[in-house]
Formats: sequence, C-alpha cells, structure tokens
Amino acid sequence: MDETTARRITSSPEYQALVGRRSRFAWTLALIPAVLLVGFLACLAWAPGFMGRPAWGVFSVGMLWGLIIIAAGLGITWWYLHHSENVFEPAQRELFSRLKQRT
Amino acid sequence: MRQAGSGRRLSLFAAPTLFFLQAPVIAADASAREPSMVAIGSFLAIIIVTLGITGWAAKHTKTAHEFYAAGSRIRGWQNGLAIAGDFMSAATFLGTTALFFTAGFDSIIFILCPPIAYSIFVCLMAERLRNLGRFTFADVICARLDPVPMRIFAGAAALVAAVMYLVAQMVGAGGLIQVLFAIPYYYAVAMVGILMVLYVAFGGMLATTWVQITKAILLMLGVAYMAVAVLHYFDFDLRTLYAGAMTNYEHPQLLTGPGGLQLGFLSALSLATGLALGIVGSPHILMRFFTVPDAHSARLSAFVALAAVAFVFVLIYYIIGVGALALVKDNPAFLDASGGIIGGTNMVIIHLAEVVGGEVFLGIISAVAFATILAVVAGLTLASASAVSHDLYANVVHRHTRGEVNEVRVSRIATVCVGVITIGLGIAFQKQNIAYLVALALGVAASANFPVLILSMYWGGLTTRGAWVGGSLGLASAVLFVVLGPAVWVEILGFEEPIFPTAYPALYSMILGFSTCWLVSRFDYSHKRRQEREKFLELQLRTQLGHIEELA
Repeated sequence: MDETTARRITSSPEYQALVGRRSRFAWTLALIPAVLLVGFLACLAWAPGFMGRPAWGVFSVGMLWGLIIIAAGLGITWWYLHHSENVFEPAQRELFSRLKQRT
Repeated sequence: MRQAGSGRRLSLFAAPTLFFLQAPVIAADASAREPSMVAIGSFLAIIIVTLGITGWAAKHTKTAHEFYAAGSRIRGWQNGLAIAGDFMSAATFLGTTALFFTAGFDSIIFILCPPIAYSIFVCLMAERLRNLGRFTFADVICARLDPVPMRIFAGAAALVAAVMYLVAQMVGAGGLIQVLFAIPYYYAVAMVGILMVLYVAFGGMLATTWVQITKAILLMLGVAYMAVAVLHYFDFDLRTLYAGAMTNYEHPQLLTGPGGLQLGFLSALSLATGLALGIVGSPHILMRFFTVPDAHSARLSAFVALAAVAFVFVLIYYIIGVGALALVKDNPAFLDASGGIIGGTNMVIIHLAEVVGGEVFLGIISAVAFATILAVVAGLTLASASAVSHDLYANVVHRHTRGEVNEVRVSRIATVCVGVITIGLGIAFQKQNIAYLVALALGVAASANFPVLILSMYWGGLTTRGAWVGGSLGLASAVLFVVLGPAVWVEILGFEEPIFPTAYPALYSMILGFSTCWLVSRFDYSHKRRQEREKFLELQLRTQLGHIEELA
C-alpha cells in the first residue's frame, strides 16, 4: 500500500474513532488488575496489620483482596473477549467495506 | 507485626526458587522409599501416552509452519490449556505449596501475577501477535524493524531465556524423579532429555501442545481431587482446617497476614514485575499464540489459560497449602533425622497426597509431577530450537535461501543439540544452587523481550537502533544485576556483601531496557528512521483493518 492511501485512511475521522475507542478500552482494562496489584503490594508493605485483619470467615483482608484480583483478571479478559467479538470486529468489518467501496 | 517474622526470615531469593522447583534435598542416609506399583504404572503410562501422541503428531509435521506452529490449526481452548501448562511447571504445584508452607500469606504474590500477565495478553498483545507474526515473537518485531540486527537480538534473548529456564527445570527434574521413582539422578536427567528431544524433533509443536494439554488436564484433576480430599479430611469445615494449620505455624498471624517474606514495597513490586512481565516475555509462551488460526482464538486461549491457572492456584493457596501445614508439618512420619521435611519442602504436597489419599493417590500425584516436568521441558526445547533455526539460521545466516524443508531439518538438529547441551548442563549443575538461573530467565524475558516487543507493537517512534541497543542493555543488565546481587555474588561466589543490593532486580533492568529503547530511538537520525515510521503506519492499518491490500 502506498503512503498517500495509508495516510488518507489513518487521518479519516471514522478510522481514528475506531482506533481510539478500541485502544482506550484495551489499555483501561489491561491496567485494572495491575493497579489493584500495586495497591495490594503497597498495603502489604505499609499496612500489614490491615491486610492481616480477619475479614470474612477464615479469610483476612489480604486473602480476599487476592481473590478479587484473580476475579478481576478473569472478568476483564472475558469482557474484552466478548466486547471485541460483538462490538469491535463488526465495526471493523463495516469500516473496511466502506473504505473498499471508496477505492 | 513484621518483627515477629524476622526470626524465621527466609533468604530473599529463596522465594522464586521455591516457586520454580529446586532439586529436592536428599539426605545421604535416607534413600528414597521404594516407589509403589501404582507410581511405576502411571509413570510408564505417561511415557507411553506421550510417545503415542508424538507418533501421531509426526505424521502431521512436515512443513516449517507445522513444525513451529502446528499449522495454526490448534483450537483456542486447546491452546489455552497448553499455555496454562507452559506456565505451570512441576514447580507450580510443588513449589507454590512449599512456598506457602514456609512463607505463609506472602506467597500470594506468586499467584497474583498470572491475572496481570494474561490481562496484558488478552487486551494488548494476542491480536497483534497473531496478526503480525508467524512462528516466533521475533517475526513481530521484524515486521517493521530491520530484520538482521533484530533477529540476532531476539534469537539470542530467546535462546538465553529458554536455555537457562530449561537447565533449571532439568536439575529440579533429576532430583525430583530420583526421590519419586528411585531412579538415579544421571539416568533421570538423561531420560527426561531424551524424551523431550523425541517429542520436539518428531512431533514439533503439535506433539508439544498435546503433551502440554494432557499434562494440564492431569494437573487440574489431581489438584482438584487433592483439595476435595483435604476438605473431606476436615469434614468440609474451613475453620478446623485453618485452625489446624495455625497451631503448627510458628507465627500464626503470618499465615493470613504479611511478613513471611519480609518484603518492602519496592522489593515486592520488583518481584511481581519480574514474574508478571517475565511470563509475558517468555519465548515458549509467546510462541503458542501462533498456533491458533485467528485473533479471536488467540484472545480466547489467553482467557482459558488464565482460568486454568487461577483454578489451580486458588486451590493450592487457599486449601492445599493450608492442608500441608496442618497435616504434614510436625508430622513425625515425614521428618528426617535433622527435623526437616523428607526430600525438602518441595515434597510437602507429595507427602500431603499420601496423608489424604493413601498410597494409590501418592503414586498418581507423583506421575502427574513427572508429566508436568516432561511437558514444560518440551515447550522450552521447542522455543530454544526455533530461536536457533528460524531466527538465527533461516533469517540471518542464510536469509531464506535454503527453503523451508531445510529449515525444519535444521530445527531438528538444533533440538538434538539443545537436548545434549541441557543433559550435560543438568549433570554439571547437579550439586549447584540453581536459584539464580530462574531469576535470570525471567529477568531477561521481562527486561529484553518484553520492552522491545510491546514498543514495536505500539510505539511508532521505535527505531532499529533504539530497539537493539535498549533490548541488549536490558538483557545485559538483567544478567549483571543477578550476578552482582545476593543470589550469585554472595551465595555462589562467596563474597560478604552484594554489589547490587536487591534480590529482585527485574523492575530496574526493565526500566533500563525501556528508557534506553526510548532514548536511543528519540535521538536516532539515521535515514532508516523515516522508512520505519512508514512501515509502522502500514502495520497499524493491518492490525486495525485486516487485509489492507484490497484497499490500495
């Protein structure tokens, strides 16, 4: 593909909208478990008493927080999987066929 | 709170080792018990089944595409189980239990890294890996950067990471098989080496994948049965289970609260970074994303992998590890003359299997451990061989002049060489403390492979010069920081004080890798820079829209 065509497509608002939407969604989701983990590690280092406090049954705050991080990872990957299949891929196909008609 | 743990402070770098399997300690006098008929039977069954898989796979492995990527015909969920298997070495189920057994609550860091790693895979990498690469992660980098220097860099980094990991696994495997099946160390290492070469050389990626799937299923069933058996032992009452563990633990508050590993924020963050991004940068895991037909299956496989890993880890951490503390610790049946656990702490889950499931279950769990060893070393061998044959030989030495058939032949030869070298190193390192090898492998993956790969996917400003200078510096610093740190400088070389103070250097070498990539690219005014930007534009279009040729 020559550079002018590439630039024409990349600068079109519909292309930029799709790319922007998709990358915002992906980066936000990917960072959620990481942020939860960094918070967890901060409490582990600076608030060990809080992390060790009994929270629910035999589980302490930290042990529940761990389960939440794992659940968040599973939830996020599942959500991304479905969102990209049901929203982004159809949007991509639609944009593709529109661009194709124009050429 | 934290002072309470200082009396039993673990040597800091012991943590990753426990997790990634260390050779069980064998007391000179206490030789391993005779293995049961069930153990021998399941052991032979695993060898026969895996060789059967290899024979079947060999019929479907002719072209380079079939050898490296199983013809991209693996289904998403199958690949997911294989990726989970690649991550869960024998260490996962021996080492995680052992780590909980000694460090209590703090071992949770190890089970919280997979959710981070697999979220990155699903959201940021799976699609692009699948759309831009063919057989190895170097393909993705070379899709926009100058292939020759980048192949040399990526091939070398992949080889270093995979071989070090492989040797660490091999030494652990030899010791483990010695204890479980009473096979002498040398024979055990040679046998594992020969089996892995057979799987890879004849069956390529297809055999490696199915061996890995078989093992992942066995591991999940074994762990699930063990968790239920532990709960059954305590009449399905978590309170009795945890109370039993607490009475055996010197510092009960460390079982449910922090302090066991004595980690500060930066050490904890660096440990977690190394683990999570080490997974993302591991060549043998990245390779699996090329075995599926499309981006959707690639994302699905990372999701399935996370589900499988989470299932095993949650059961081990919240039930089995606690059960081991309650039933194995201070149990005279499992203590040797000096009061330590027979075979070392890595064996606690094996002992636990005997308590809750008797001789038969002990035999089955031992065989599952054996299967996990075989599957993981096979995956690593394939990754090492591909780095040699696909990245270094076909794309650098001969630049695709020799054809695909020849490339497959070279990778088979490389497989045999990797096998011979690993058997040799496995024997040479038998008596060594191999803790640092795993730290090295993960450090290299997180500091060299990961920065270059993610920047080449997402940052248009990356230039060839920036990528190879930054990646090489990441690689060199990952190695240097471990060598100058407590694990090698103090423990192996015997100096008083480490030159590099922390036992968890991955965060620092990764930051160094990233910032050098950025800095050198930023001030790279070579004429290639413009071309590479254009190439990036085209690749962006390809990842966003698919077959862009039809639009021209």
